[in-house]
Amino acid sequence: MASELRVDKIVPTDGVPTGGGGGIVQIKYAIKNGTQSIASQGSPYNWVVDISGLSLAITPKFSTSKFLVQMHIGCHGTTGNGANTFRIYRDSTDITQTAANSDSRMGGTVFYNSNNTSMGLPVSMNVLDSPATTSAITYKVTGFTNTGTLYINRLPGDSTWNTISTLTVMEVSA
Amino acid sequence: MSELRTNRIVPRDGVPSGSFGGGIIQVRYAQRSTTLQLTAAGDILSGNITPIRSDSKILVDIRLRAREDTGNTAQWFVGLRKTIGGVDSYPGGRYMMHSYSHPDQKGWMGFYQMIFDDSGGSSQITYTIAAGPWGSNNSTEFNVNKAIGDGETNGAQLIMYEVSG
Repeated sequence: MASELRVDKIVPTDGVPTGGGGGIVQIKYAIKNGTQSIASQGSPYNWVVDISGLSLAITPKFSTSKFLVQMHIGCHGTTGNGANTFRIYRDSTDITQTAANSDSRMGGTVFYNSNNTSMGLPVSMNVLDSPATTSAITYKVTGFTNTGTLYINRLPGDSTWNTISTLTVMEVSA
Repeated sequence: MSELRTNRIVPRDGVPSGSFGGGIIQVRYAQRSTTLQLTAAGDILSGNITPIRSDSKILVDIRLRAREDTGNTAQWFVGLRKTIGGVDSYPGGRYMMHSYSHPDQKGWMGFYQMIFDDSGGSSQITYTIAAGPWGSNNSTEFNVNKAIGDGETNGAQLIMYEVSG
């Protein structure tokens, strides 16, 4: 027998645990199948590039809600290209790094390639955000490399074999 | 104690336009605890879920840690295969993730990805994490739960959530 619960908030009977959340009431998801190349813009290291297709707009049901933001990136750095970093922004606010540290070589998550060859691996990051608003917000992913090129969803010398990257946002009752 | 039994959880005003779903109504889990050494394409871990509703989405959370050995000159890919009634498909692509480390060093890699899939009905779905070398393996290995200096035993996990659509 089919049954359906329509509700905007799901919490344990004793309330939401301190620092945590309750049930998930809304999910949005983006998948990037195409490729992108991010060439270093050099020093000063205060720039980042939006990763196209990894942007999601969502309207919170409550200003108390928390948002579980999960990022998974397929990427590859050219030979010895150093720090490759990723950050997640809510609108213009970097939610993965304190404002005091604007050096893009220190992103929310980093893989460092000091090898005399190229290097590729998946990069992932989760953030629990508290936007404290009921207005629409947009989460997006940015990338950076301090030298050479950072490739998204592809290898440096082979554009025929593409991986994927995803961004998932879950509204958690609180 | 209180208990809620339902087959669908959505926001009071319905699932917002462009949203993939509402609440989670079922969770299934599988993990691999045994050693695996691949030198060619092969399967790593499978898990099953039977959707309760045909309009649900299945969120597949893939977590794999693996080691490429010294001498690796091959790119290794990891993909997710979906099987319903013996028919295979690849909702995230056969080459969903890849890794390539320095040939002179061992490479420990984490492969994490999330796929939102259509349930497509109420038949049992089998999801399988598979890996293989791109082209020739060049005599390299892809190892799961094969310890060198540690005792990892749960290197591959699949978490499958049925999400109200």
